[in-house]
Amino acid sequence: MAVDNNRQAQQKIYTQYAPKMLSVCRQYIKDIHHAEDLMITAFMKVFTHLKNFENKGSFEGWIRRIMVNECISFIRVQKKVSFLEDEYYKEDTFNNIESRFNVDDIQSLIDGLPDGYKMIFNLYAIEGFKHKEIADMLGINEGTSKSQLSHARRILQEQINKLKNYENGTE
Amino acid sequence: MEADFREKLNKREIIPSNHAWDRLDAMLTAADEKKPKSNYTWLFIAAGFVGLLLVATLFFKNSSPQDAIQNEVVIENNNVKETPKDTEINQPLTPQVAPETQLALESEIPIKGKERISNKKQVAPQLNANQNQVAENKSNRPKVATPTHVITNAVAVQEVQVDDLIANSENATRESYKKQLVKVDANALLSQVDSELELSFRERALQVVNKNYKTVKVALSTRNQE
Repeated sequence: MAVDNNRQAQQKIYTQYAPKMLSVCRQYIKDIHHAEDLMITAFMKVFTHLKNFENKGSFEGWIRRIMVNECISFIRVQKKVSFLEDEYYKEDTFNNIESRFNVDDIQSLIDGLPDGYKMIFNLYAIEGFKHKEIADMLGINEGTSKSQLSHARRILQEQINKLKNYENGTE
Repeated sequence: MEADFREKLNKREIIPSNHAWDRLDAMLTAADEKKPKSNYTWLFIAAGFVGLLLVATLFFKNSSPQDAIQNEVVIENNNVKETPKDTEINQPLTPQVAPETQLALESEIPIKGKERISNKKQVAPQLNANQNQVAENKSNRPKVATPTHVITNAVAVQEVQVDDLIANSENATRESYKKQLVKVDANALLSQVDSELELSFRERALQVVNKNYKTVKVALSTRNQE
């Protein structure tokens, strides 16, 4: 019914998915108002291209992908983010520590990353894309994606260590 | 650690502001209003295209009248069958038809003098010839109705006792008309009738005037010859 521009059906879809999608947009955009604007624009695209949705994957995943693409486009156009062709990276991961951070702390940690690092980290660690997919999506080399992720992890690790030391009273 | 980040962020939900849906609704409404405009545009384009096609069809149809005539001969044949037009059918033989019309007028008037009878001398053979011609046409195109008033006029002439004169001139005129009748092509006649039917009002009016003028001219020439 939403395909036929039935407004009630569209509102039902919006009500069901808007909270989760605003959370997705918030991962990429620090300002909540900008994030909401992007979410509305993305929902507009969802309803406009609803007839193109093939029932191959989940509907939520399809909407989520549109949200992510909208946020990436916004960051790349508005903030003019460019990725340095830096292919130096280290296969490092976080220290296997028990996470005691709540979601707001995690969001604060991600918000502290530069836009380029944040984008790669979100795409790889949160959305689950592979480096090849990220490279195709952003038009960069696969090595660049890996190096950006490595830098993001290093910065996050440093911030987590600072927080731990602050909580332990060592700083 | 990253899995923990993913799990917690994916579970998170942020309630949008109250007027977020209103804004989206307004955008959707604006988008819906834009769509019909584009549909009308395409409709106008399609209508213009159809109009051009019609004009082109009419133009090419008028530019090749032979094809149209060939295609419509059968249809017009039916029309002729329904409303017989004696003058149009006999038009190629207008010199012969004109006396016939004179004869029809004179047959109603009582004949007194020799002059009138002498008129009949010339008219009567032609009348018989016309009868033959009509019969010929009838045999060629059996669907075409025969003019009945010619036959009735012939009976009237016979009542004036000109049989002897008719018999004398009948053989000579019959031969001459047979030659002429051979030249008459039924299809050509029909084509001519068709072309006349398709003409515009102005052209038709001109043709009628022209035809009447020829009729009068022939009548005058016939009278002068007499």
